[in-house]
Amino acid sequence: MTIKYVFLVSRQGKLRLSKWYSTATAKQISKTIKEVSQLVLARKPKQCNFIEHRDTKVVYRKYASLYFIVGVELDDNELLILEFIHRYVECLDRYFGNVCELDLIFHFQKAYFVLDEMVMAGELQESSKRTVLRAIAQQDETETKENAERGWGDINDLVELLDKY
Amino acid sequence: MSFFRLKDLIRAVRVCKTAADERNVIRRESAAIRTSFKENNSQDARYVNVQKLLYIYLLGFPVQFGQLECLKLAASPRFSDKRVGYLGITLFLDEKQEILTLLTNSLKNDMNNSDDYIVGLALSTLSNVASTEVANDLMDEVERLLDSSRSYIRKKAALAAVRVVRRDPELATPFLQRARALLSDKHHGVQLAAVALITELCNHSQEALDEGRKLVPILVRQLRALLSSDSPSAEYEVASFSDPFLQVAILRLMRVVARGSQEAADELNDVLTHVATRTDWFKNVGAAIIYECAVTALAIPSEQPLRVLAINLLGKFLAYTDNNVRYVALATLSAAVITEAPSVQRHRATVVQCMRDSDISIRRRALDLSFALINAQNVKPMVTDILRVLPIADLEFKSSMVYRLSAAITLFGDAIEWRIERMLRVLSVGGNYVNTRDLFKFIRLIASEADESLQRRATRNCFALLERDVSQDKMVLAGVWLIGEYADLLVASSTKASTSTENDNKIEKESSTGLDEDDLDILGALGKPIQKESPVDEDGLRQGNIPAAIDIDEELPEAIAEPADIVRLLTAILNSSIVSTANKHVTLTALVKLSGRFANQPSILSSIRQTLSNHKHSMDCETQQRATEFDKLLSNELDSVRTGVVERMPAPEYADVPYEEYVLNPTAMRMKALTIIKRPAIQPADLIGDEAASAANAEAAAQKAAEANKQSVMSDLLNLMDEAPATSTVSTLSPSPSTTSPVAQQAPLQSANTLADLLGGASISPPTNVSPAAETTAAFSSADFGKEYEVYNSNGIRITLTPSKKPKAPAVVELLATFYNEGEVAISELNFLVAVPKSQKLQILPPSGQHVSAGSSVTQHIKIANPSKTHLRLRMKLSFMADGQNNESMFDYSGFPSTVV
Repeated sequence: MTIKYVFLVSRQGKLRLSKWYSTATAKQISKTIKEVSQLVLARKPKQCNFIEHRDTKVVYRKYASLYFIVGVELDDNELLILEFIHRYVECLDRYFGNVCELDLIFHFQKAYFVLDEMVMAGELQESSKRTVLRAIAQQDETETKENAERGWGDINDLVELLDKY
Repeated sequence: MSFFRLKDLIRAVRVCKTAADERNVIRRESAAIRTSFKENNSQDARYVNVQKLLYIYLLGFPVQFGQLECLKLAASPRFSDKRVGYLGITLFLDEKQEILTLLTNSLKNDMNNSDDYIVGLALSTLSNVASTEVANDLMDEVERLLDSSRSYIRKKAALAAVRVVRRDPELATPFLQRARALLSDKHHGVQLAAVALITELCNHSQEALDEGRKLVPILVRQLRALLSSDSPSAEYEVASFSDPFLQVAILRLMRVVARGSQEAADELNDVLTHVATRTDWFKNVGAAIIYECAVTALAIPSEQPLRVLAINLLGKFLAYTDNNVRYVALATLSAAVITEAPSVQRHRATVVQCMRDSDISIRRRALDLSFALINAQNVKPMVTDILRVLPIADLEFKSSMVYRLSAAITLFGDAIEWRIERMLRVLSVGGNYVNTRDLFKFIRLIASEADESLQRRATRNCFALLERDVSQDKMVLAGVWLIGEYADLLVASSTKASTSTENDNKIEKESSTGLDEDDLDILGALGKPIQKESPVDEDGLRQGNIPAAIDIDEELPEAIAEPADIVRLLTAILNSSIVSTANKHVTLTALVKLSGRFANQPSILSSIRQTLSNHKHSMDCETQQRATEFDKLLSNELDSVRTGVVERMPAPEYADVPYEEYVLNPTAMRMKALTIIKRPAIQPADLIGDEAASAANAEAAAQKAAEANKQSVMSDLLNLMDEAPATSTVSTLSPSPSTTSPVAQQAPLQSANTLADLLGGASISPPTNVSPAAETTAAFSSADFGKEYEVYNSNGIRITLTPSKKPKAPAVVELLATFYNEGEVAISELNFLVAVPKSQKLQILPPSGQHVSAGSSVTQHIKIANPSKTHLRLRMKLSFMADGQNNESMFDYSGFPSTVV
């Protein structure tokens, strides 16, 4: 499984996350995102989840208003990539607790951290959800502790709670 | 001013009503961040600012100014700073940036940190941005971390090693043994990483591949362990499948290590069969596993039952309702056609069905597979099926469909009549998408290979088709050209005339007499005489209202026209607004050609001149010029010249460039390891192999290959790759030492049609005895150049070589090969290959033609660079088609005088 890139766009075509595992210039990246999003957003629900874009196979899946889009090598297992996308969404869901698009907007860096525990060098890194979440939780704990040392406390979280409800 | 928190920034952007507002907010914020970077060196500020930059990056605004700050942040001792800093580095930097060298040190420090998560961050960053240089600098660290006691570190180190090896394959060796140990790790994450690492290593080095083969038993054991657990541990299961991610990764690695190794394939046979039969494929996960298993089974030299099982599973996928599953099945079957043609052919009907699917991805795959399935036996139904789809096909597919249809019709169609008929259909439906090359092939086919009755029918078809519709660009071009050339055949009475002579004048005399009995019958049978039916109005054709494509089951319409009708049609085309200017130029030429066909009908001539004069004032310069010149040509004072100018063109003689054989299956091109996926049938080892690589063995291989040829053109590719240059007509053969192993030289394979043989044999053929007489004259006789030396004369074909030399290049001997067809029948697909000893270099230019009609000849230039001035010895291979038979022969020649060097 060699993932070239992962990115998330909303139904309106807004980029929510993007990570490139193959080397590409900023220009190429934004061009790819633009072209692939257009192709994906135009697809109908019953159609298959794969399209081809240049020398890349694009596997995508829609969750609520968000499209998870993964570009892989042509000889990769598309069906398994779908499972991977689902696994990623499950992890996000468990991490945020019933994840919604707003979570990913305000905590995009967390979404990156989760992804980094699942994929490295374009290869799948961990097949256990529990291991992924445990690693994230422990790292978050350190970060919270350090932020407390900076004297910032948990104000962020309070504000966020107010936002949500 | 600066917003203090990331959250405030996000909120500020979210309330923006317009893009301009958003730009403003970001511009102000960016400026504030920049200032803050300049004035404030605290990591706390940086921590916040870099997070804000990450957000700005996602919005698509420039953030390069933050690159250095990310590096500084990553150098902070705090974990949270590093976490954000490294994230910034992976997003804002790539391996091509020089600033990266600054990163090496902090990565190195962090990889020696006592905190697992900091080590993890460093490894993760390394795997994302490492350049060759960084990979070299840090590889010792990575290697050490592979032995870490923590599984979290081990898996990340293994994946960082993947990146290291990708950037510099020479670093592979130290990872090999360690990866092997990791394979049996009890953590699935580590196993996954180890499998990825070994896969990568095997792709890069032969040594690793040899080692990898030894791992097969371990892989089998691990996979069996996954399969046998009745109740998979909750941690790793997906929909009751035990860790499908690991299963697929192992199956994939099996494919890599067992490729080309029959032993390994045999070891895997049981476990693959087990996966294929026991996995429930009604869920996406199950289908993913089966799919990987099938691909592996097909890609390694596995036993036939397993391969058939794999194809049948994919066949079942095709009939499944899930579009995703159907998509992968179609894609995989395209690749499988190469080796498993008969099994795949069984699913043809389903594939054809899929060409009409509602999903463009499925349609694309189905089309590819349909073309890949075409062979000599099924070409007729397949082409018919695809032609049915062509009118309703997606615009983006049409050019490639039309191109591949032309290729399929040309490569596999045997009866010329059928080929012409199908090409006309392609033109009439997809004429806007036919490329010029295919069009010329078609015209060439009619002009030089078709007999007169076929030419007549094609012209009559064209006339009828153009009366229906002139919207297809290349159809108009082809049709108008044919009408111009063969107008005499188009008119009614030419049936009789053509049998007697080709003389134009004579035909016209008869044509003026009108319809004869036979033709009346034909018209009667049609029920409606064309003249009355064709509604070509004064002002043009049926424009705008394009008639539906002719149903494939209907015959192509045929029209018999009066000369006046022809002029009227061409005039209408000239006046049409949808015909391209270039086509109008050809139409003008066709029109003036009519004057030669109907020279004795003054009324026709005058209506031609009438039309021409209408276009003398055209806005288009070329049209205007042609109209004026042609009008002049038709005037009385040029009577003597005209006949010569407007008479029928001789059949074109230019070389026909054959279709590349992978045109019909591009998937095959992507599968680089084609030659080694098959079981013994074709083993490249034979070419360079041991003593057992005897003539018999090679012959068997060649025979098998020949059989495969009949099944599908794709198997030709196997040959193509086996003996790369042997099937290409334009190639520079440089006898490379690698293809001539010592063994091949000791025992030249007499009958194997392999390049290795060709070269190896030539280099050891005993030096010819040069007669003393020749030697004495050697000093002076430049006269030996320019003579024709006969090198071959058999099967009705004679080949001579004429050496010559250019003063500019004294070390290069140019040979002009001339192929005389002295037999009774025409020769086609002429292919001539030459090999020379290693000390000489060879260049073969394309022949002047591949088709040699009886009594004629073609030539081909060959250049030999002979710096050491050694005696010229040639080994040649000739293949051609004559009378439907494929002829092949190989022969040597060394009879040049010793002066010809």
